[in-house]
Amino acid sequence: MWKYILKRLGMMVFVVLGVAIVIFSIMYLVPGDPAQIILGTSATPEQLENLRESMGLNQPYIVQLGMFLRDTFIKLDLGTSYMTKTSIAAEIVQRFPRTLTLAVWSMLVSVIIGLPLGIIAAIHQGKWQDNLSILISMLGISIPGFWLALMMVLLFSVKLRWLPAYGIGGWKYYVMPVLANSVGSIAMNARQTRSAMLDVIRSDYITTARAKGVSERNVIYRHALPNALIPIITLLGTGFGSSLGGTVIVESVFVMPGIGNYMTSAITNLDYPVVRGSVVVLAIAFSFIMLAVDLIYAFVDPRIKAEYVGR
Amino acid sequence: MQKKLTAAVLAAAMVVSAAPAVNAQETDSIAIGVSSATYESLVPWQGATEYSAMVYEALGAKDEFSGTFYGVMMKDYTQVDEVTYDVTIYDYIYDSAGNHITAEDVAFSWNTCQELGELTETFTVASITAIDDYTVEFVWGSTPALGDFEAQMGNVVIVSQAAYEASGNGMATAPVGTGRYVVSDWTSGVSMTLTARDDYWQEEDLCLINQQKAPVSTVRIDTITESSQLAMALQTGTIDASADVSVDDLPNFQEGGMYADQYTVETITGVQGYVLYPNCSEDSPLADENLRKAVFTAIDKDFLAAAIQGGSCEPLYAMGSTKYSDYNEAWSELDYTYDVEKAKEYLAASAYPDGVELTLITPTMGYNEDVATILKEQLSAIGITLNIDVQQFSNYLPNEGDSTAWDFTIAFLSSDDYITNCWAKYFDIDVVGTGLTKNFIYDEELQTLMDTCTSVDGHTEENIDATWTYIMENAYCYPLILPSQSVVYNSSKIESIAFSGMDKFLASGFVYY
Repeated sequence: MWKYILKRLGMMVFVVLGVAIVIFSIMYLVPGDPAQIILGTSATPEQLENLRESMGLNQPYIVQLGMFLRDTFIKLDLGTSYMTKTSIAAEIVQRFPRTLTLAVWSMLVSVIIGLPLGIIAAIHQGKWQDNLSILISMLGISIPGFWLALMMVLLFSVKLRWLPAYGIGGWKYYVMPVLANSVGSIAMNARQTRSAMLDVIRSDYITTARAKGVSERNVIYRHALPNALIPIITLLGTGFGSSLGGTVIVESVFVMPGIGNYMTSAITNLDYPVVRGSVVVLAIAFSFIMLAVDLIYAFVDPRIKAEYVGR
Repeated sequence: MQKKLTAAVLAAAMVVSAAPAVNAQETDSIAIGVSSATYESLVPWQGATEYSAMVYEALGAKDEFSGTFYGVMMKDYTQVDEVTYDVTIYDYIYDSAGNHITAEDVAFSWNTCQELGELTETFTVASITAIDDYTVEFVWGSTPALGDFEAQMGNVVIVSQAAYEASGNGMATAPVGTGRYVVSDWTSGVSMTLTARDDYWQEEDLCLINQQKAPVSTVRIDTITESSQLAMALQTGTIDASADVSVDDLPNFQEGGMYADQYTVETITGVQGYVLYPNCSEDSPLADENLRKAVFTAIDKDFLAAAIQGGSCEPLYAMGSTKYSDYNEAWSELDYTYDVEKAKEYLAASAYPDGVELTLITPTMGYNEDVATILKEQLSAIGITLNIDVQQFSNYLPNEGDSTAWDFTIAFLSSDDYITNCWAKYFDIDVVGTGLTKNFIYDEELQTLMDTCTSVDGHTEENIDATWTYIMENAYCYPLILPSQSVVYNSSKIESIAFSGMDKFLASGFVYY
């Protein structure tokens, strides 16, 4: 098992390195001049040239890439923002926990609501509970998170005055962002759970269990659900990644100073180091999440665990 | 030449607000919403924001529209020769950490600002030297043009060298300034709380500009980039004022609106005018003067003014706001009056009598896209096809300097002082720095006129008028509209507001109940 984990960690290095090279190349190829953005329209060509020189933007692609990889992965230095002159690592350390909190809670809410919804739909296939679940799922997938966020602000902040409209602070500040960020995942989880459960419920061993007189509750929760969990866990893993990405919009609407918000303004300002640093950090986080998902497989499915042990 | 900066001159002009300020104790806190994420760093030399003007101070400040200059840290100055100025500062300036500010700190601040590439003005500083404890000698690389010296004195904020070096990160997270307020709480990109200093160094009767006054003890500035959220923050009372409420949300706060009883909307003429620039190089069909005149005559700017920003714009007749002291009302007569038949005549006289396809590039800013769409429709009436290419600002900037990339562009512009300095940004080749104007022409006569009207001695009504007449006669640009600026504020907490002169209002410019 440990051998497998180490092997996966080794592969992660290449994944993160690949992401770093891709994001560097994309930002390099994006039209626009950071020096011009920093100095503005009144800057003379000479001033622009001097700034490009001091920022290393005149160096060839391969030299800039080499410097970026060396600084990021050998010196562990993400550099400083072109625009704000602040340390990117310090900024990410401050912001990432907020993004992570938002993503983790979004995932938890989507599991807590989405899974039971899917199970109820599956065990009541064709009945009103199933139809209601499908309706909720359709709504969840169709409603744009951005729109829902603003509607919630209107209701809970402007009308009822229960929750703060924006900013950061205690748990109340996270309620609406988490709901807005998780509504799509709730729907996806419900649909995936329903589909996986229906596949399992139709299996012979479930029919056998029922024939042997096992209670319906045990059939569902002891025999069907564990076997339906594999595709659901896969979805949760990728869903968590989406939640991390989805925070970009939610953080902007609710003025949450997370990593998504940080990246958004950096992209607009062509603040290359910030975009690159943020993407690398997110890639590392996502790689760890996917590793965790693979390991969870082993705990829920002994067949997979046996495979890992054998490697 | 010696100019003594006296309190008497200063007091009147900067305070726009008519109502008297009241004791800060009566309202001890206020919250303001801003829409741009300008508060991600607190470094001293990175553009003027509502925040920086309250925390950091420069040697002086200039009223953008009258050109009147006020000393802040500067007690007086002497012009020694054409390029040399000796500036004396007050001898009792202390920053919020208790550091005594001397001439060495002034020299340090200027030199550091220049080293960091933040000093982007068009004339260079040859040397800045402390010649005694409170006097600094500035030697410029070339003779400052009209308003240059005063603008520079207001652009570079002064910090203590000891405090700057002790901060370790250029004060990016913990600013120490000499301003009226200190940053007491800050979350990058979200919120900043400023608290009035009890130990502010300047005597009350010598506090000449709004930024030196503290009508309220605590000011919170929230960054809310989403426009609906900004309006809702006002509705819920989370913030008390904002100058960034969108046109769509303004009616809720205006007379007859849902929140009109709690809020006041104050609207003033803006400072940034929208101007259409033709590419006059040989790379564009618009090198043809008749074609330019055909385009300008085909534009109905009254319609534009009525259609953009909910109808709260004014037609613009010069390249810059009507608020500048050197603006001339008579310039509206030089304008190309909307006349489709006349436009067709100009077109017939051009090299493109059957019409032409032109490209307009514009950054995604303000109302540019809306203006471009209306222009497209209006120009189609005379057979001109306008292709609109809306670009992100970062992509637009390099294209703006490429004569093969566009035929038209829309810009909005302002200057720190005079309308002639607005023109200089586009038509003075020394300011543009490429050897050509921004629309790629070299016109010796225009350059002579620009040199004259932007010089200290040549800035006369006659010379300014001659320059603008020449620009219009040659159809080098076409002024379109002047949007207004609206501030919404909670009437129960704020009695009136003051503007800094430019389109920004100041947190310290409010007069609080």
